[in-house]
Amino acid sequence: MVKLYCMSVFYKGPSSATCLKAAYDLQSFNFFQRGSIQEFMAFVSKTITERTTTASRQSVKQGEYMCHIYVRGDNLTAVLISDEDYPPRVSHTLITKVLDEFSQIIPASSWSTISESDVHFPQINTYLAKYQNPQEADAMTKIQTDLDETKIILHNTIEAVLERGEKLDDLVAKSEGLSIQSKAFYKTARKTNSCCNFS
Amino acid sequence: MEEDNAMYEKILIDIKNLIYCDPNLKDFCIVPINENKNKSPVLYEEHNLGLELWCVKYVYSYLYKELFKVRQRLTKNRLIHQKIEEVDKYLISALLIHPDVSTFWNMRRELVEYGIINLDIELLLTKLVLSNKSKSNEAFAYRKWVVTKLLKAIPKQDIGSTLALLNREFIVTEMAAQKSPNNYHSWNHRMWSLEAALTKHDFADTISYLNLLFEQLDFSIRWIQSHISEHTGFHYRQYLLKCVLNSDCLGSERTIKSRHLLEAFIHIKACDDETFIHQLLGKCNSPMHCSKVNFIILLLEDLFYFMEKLNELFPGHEAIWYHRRFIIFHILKIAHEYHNIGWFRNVNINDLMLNSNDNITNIDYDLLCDGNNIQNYQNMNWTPSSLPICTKYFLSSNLNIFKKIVPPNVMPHKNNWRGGTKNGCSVFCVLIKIIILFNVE
Repeated sequence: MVKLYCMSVFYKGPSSATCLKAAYDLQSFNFFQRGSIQEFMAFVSKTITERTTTASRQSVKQGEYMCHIYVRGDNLTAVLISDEDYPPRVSHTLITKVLDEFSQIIPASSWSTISESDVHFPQINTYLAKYQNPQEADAMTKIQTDLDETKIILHNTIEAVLERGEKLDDLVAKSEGLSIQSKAFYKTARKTNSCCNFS
Repeated sequence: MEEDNAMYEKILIDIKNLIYCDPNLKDFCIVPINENKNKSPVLYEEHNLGLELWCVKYVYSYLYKELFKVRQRLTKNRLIHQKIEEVDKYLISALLIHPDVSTFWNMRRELVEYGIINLDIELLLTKLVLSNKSKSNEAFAYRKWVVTKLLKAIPKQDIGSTLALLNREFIVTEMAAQKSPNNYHSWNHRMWSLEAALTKHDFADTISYLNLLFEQLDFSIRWIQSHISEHTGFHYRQYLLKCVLNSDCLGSERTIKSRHLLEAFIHIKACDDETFIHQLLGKCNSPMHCSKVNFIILLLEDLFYFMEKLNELFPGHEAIWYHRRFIIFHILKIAHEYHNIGWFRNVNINDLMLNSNDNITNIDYDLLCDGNNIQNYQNMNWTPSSLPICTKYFLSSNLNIFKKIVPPNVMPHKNNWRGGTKNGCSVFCVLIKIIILFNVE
């Protein structure tokens, strides 16, 4: 499937990252699981932001999902979670575009202190919706070819992004952002994906 | 124990009532909630139905026992009415939880046959089952059975009702295909529905059938754009394209539009289909059948327009190249038939060796590709003497046309070698080679 699920803007502080704005499109998931999936996407986005060095781009593939991230030199970060078929070049173009626009609207001095609810940046939702069809979106941004694709670091699993000795299961168990229900959801999903299932 | 059973009964009644009361239910799923919070595990919000995981184990083993108690008596139709309604209730939950048990589906068939349950409920139930387990073969088989029954009840001249029924199948199969990638069960069901409607009304030669196909073709290109690596979508498109051949109906505005689009790509100016075909394939005594004209226009539109666009946006997806192979194969096949040249599959090359007097051996094969790519083609070991005679004849008389059909931009061009396309592209070259040399699909 060619789809964007989640886009979020973070400020990467010295010890942890804070979410400044996020937009989701989870229509394709089951109604009762959307809440947990949203929590998970936020959790993954935050985890990856904290483990990406300043001024770098990464793309992480996990199962059928791709997670693209760009931490700018000034520590403003955008994370985009998409399906594996979504063209990565368009994803990174979108990230750059959203970050540019964000930093124009929200002054850099407030990034480290402002909370998510105070950030007024509805454009992020518009972008997420518009870029669902990469064809239309790409036509508009075709001129922007300054993206150097060779500089994007590619990882094949989330585990590859984690620091030495860290395990995803432990991070999930420790996380405060995930509800009990979402943790149960994670365990069930792990179990069903651990062997071949024909459902 | 007694108390537990009462609780299970309550859960089962809740689910049954929801299904009977809300015809707009969208979705069913088992929600991973592992602890009993002492409230009903049946969730219902915005037309979505959910069942909490912790209770599934107990409920299922309860209803399993209950169902097999009455199984024998149900088959012999020796149940009292009240009991039969209970069976209905058990079956609904049993199938939602575990749709791969054929016995349960068969018990439902019996209920339908006894006139206990109505077919609309069955359509809703299979839809819900498929929303949870979108690859359930049993559910699709059962749905086919239900749809066949409904089709039978429609009078032969009432195409409108059939189309409405067909539309409902389209919605369900799209939902199921959306839920799991490469869901061939779902696409097969979709094709089966199309065919069932066609056999029922035998309306292949009417414009409404052709329009139906065009609508589906438009749908399929939208689908492919958002599911680029799923061959199922392409396969469905190929099926639809071949369906156009069934229809003995003159092209509509749609094909005229496509033709105009094509004229820009292959520099042919034609005012009608006939001159278009003449310019493309050369003149021939017998005119081409209009179904084939439609077919060839649609194929060329795919080749020059849609596949180019897709390839640019999603470089390196093999499914696109496989679709190209399909297109080229069928264009060549039709061109052969048009010139009344034999089109053999799996021909034995040795039987078709040319003798030395034949001047066709002098064909300049480099003409097939533009100057930049000669290198690639030389690597392919073209051996004119091993070409089947029919294809040679075809090539010699239609070299220019062949160049148009396989235009330079489809040939392995430098730009197409970037990234993963290299694979798809070389596969494609090899395939063209195989098609030409061996006439195999």
